[in-house]
Amino acid sequence: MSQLALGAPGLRKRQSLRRRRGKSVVMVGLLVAAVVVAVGVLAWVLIYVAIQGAGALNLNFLTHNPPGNPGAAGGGFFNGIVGSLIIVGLATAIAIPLGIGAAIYLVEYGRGRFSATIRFFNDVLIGIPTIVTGAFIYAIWVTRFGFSGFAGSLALSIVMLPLVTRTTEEMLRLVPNELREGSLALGATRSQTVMRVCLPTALPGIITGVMLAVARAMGETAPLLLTALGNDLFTQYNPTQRMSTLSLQIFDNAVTGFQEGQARAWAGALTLIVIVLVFTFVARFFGRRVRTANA
Amino acid sequence: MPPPAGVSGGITATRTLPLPLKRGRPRVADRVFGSGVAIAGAIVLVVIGAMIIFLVLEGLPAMQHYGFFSFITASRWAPSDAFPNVSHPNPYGILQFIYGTMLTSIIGMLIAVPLAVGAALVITDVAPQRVKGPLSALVDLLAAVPSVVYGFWGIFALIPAIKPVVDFLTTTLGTVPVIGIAFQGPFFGVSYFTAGLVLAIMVLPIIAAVCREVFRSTPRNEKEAALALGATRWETIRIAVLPRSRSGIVGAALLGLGRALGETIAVTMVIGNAVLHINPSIFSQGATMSSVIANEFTEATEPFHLSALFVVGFWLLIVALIVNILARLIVRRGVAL
Amino acid sequence: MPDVATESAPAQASMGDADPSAPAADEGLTVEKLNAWFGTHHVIADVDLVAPAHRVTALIGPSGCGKSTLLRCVNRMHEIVPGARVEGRVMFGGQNVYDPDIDAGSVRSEIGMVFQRPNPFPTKSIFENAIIGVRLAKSAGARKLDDIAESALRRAQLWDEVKDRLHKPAVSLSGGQQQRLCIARAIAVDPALLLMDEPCSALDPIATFKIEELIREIADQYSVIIVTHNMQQATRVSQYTGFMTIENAGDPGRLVEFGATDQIFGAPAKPATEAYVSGRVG
Repeated sequence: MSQLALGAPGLRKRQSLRRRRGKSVVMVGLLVAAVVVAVGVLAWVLIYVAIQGAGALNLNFLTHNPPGNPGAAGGGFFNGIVGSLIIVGLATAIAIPLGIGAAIYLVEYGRGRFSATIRFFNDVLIGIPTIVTGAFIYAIWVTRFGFSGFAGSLALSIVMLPLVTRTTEEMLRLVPNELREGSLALGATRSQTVMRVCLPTALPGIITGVMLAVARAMGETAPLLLTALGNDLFTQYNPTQRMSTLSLQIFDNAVTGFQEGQARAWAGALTLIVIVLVFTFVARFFGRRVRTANA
Repeated sequence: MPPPAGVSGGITATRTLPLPLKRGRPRVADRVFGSGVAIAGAIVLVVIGAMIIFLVLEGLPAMQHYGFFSFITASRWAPSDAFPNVSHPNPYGILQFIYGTMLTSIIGMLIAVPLAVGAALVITDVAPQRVKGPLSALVDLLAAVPSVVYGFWGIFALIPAIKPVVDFLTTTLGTVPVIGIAFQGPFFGVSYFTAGLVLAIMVLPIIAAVCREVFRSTPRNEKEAALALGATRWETIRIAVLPRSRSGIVGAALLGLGRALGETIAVTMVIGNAVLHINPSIFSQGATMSSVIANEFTEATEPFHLSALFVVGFWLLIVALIVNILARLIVRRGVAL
Repeated sequence: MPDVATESAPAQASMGDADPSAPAADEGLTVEKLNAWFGTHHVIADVDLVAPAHRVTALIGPSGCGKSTLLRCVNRMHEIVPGARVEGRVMFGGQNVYDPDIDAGSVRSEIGMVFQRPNPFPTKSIFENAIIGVRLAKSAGARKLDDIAESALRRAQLWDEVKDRLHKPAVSLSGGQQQRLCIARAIAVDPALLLMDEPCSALDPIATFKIEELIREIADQYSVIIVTHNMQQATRVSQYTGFMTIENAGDPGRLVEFGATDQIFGAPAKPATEAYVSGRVG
């Protein structure tokens, strides 16, 4: 049983093991290279935007509108920021009750094929191109009522709705059944159980989901091209009129030939990234706490 | 032990008999609530159905005027050639947009899938425990960057960076007979290839997230069986993790494809928007179904122009629905993206 | 095949000892020919039982014999599981709980339940948990809620431990305290009958002791039916005991014998009962 008895086969075995180990190192190295590329590109994008935008990003930028002449320097994207807040805010107000309601149906009421179909197509809706959503809203709303911030909100609410439904459903499923039973045993109706026990218990996770959906909506541009249309000239607070958003202004200014416009676009891009990242971080951090609390 | 005899007296019983039970069905409020949430649930189906219907309705004028199949057989997209009383040839040929969408998506997938699978494997089976979480979050963060920012970065950072490489490729691969047509210059920065690169970055996090869940579901004792046989780390991955993950990876890739097909803004910014016809080289400018809609929608003044764009939108929706439905049939639940 | 003993317990208590004249049967709970299914699986068969008012009735038997199912049939909690079905009558206060005209919610407001594992609502405070049943029924004004909470918590033997932190989260309590809070929650609505499904099985011996003490105290005011797998507990807290078992695997559970606790444990009439309480089986 000693190595001496094995002789040559033992030697061969050691060599092939070395080769296998070597191959493993190489392959794992390639895998690591993949992750490095992914994270590296992320860093490249974020750093590049930060460098380009930092110069032009200041309080003035955040509080002023673009100059009438796109070639002029200075000014900012105030109207876009306001527009983003209003349009995304309205979209959130539409998506939250519908999304949470749908999730309540799927978890607490739904049985069988109908709810399985809803769940399936909810996931499918997440992947629908947002430009198509914009075209749809154009067809049913803009053709009748004109371009408006509200049309943009309708389009964004379709983008947000399946996300809210999905995360709310996952959070409601995490609520232990014993709590539902405890509530029913006290004589509560199903709706009372949902509203007073299930939703409050799942609330932190639901908030996380909503924040992630908001972050997604803030970054959308395509559907707004066809619905809110944009308004570079002045600040519009009325959602029944055309409005600009931060994302639209970045898009418009990025593709102009004017350096000054592009400088504003970089500042806008940096602003947008910061907003989206803050929302995403807070939401995920919050969410992780929820998951460990419920575990 | 039963209670002492005297205890049944001298107690303050609040009630000896139960109150009569309430008659009647569950309260109205409860049933209204139940109906309300069922309606909320059904909205998803209504929206998808309405999308199909209304896109068809808006595209109908062009389809009736030019005929259903002419959109695929026509050779050019030239709105300026459209006249209200002329129905042949169809100036709104959409083949090059389908081609552009397919090409950019394929380029994106060819790059993104290996990278995403590799990244997911590292996160689940290679990285030390403490690094897994942050690494995973970083890869997910790629999905949070808005499309317009990717497009902007693509124009000013990516293009200058790849120009030397592409110029090299056009002068070498581009001169090879037969296949060289696909790699010919001149390269102006914006191109199918550039759009494919940007798409790769955008769909990578989605594919990686699904793959992560798939790999994580590998039972520990299968991995331990491999290790106990003396397998190296790579061999463990190769024999215990990857084989059972095949369908999951396919599903992940399909989800990524679905996203790539529909991506609009970043693609519009780096593809060049040459809408006339198909350009054979991947380094030449082009257009996709979504980019042409985004570009021309608000200025579609020619006869049937807007309607033709809705035809494009309709087909984009159908393709996206098919890909997403296939993907979701394979990938059931469990992923937050 | 053990036949179902349909004893009207007080009249036939064979020990005939310290048990005072029991209340009339219609003030307690009467179960008549109760059968229950989960889908096609028959879980309890032909149960006839009278649990007298103001007494503690224990249900004992081996695991899986249907004791908990029987309990959950009393307050119609069995039917929240899809595919669950019940036949028979459960007479409570002169009404059949399963009368199609009767609202299940109202049944559950009159019959309280305490579960095996404490389940206080985590987002609510101790106080809120105690009075939530009252809030749901909207049966008391705001000022009375404080009194109701204190009274319930006192009866649940929890008041002294929580009176200074009523508005702290309920989940900050220990397991035994949480269970007493759940008991307080159940009795705050003043049910005429309290169902307890192995309330101590998730608790340590000291917490168990406190809850058994509590049960003995509240037994005068309430009627209690308690499911327990702990026979000593049954002898400690109950005056009446029902023994359930299944004969072969896959059979539905049946009530084999019912009588005064002393009699069931001291001189059981059925061989199956005797085998179980003497520890030879189950």
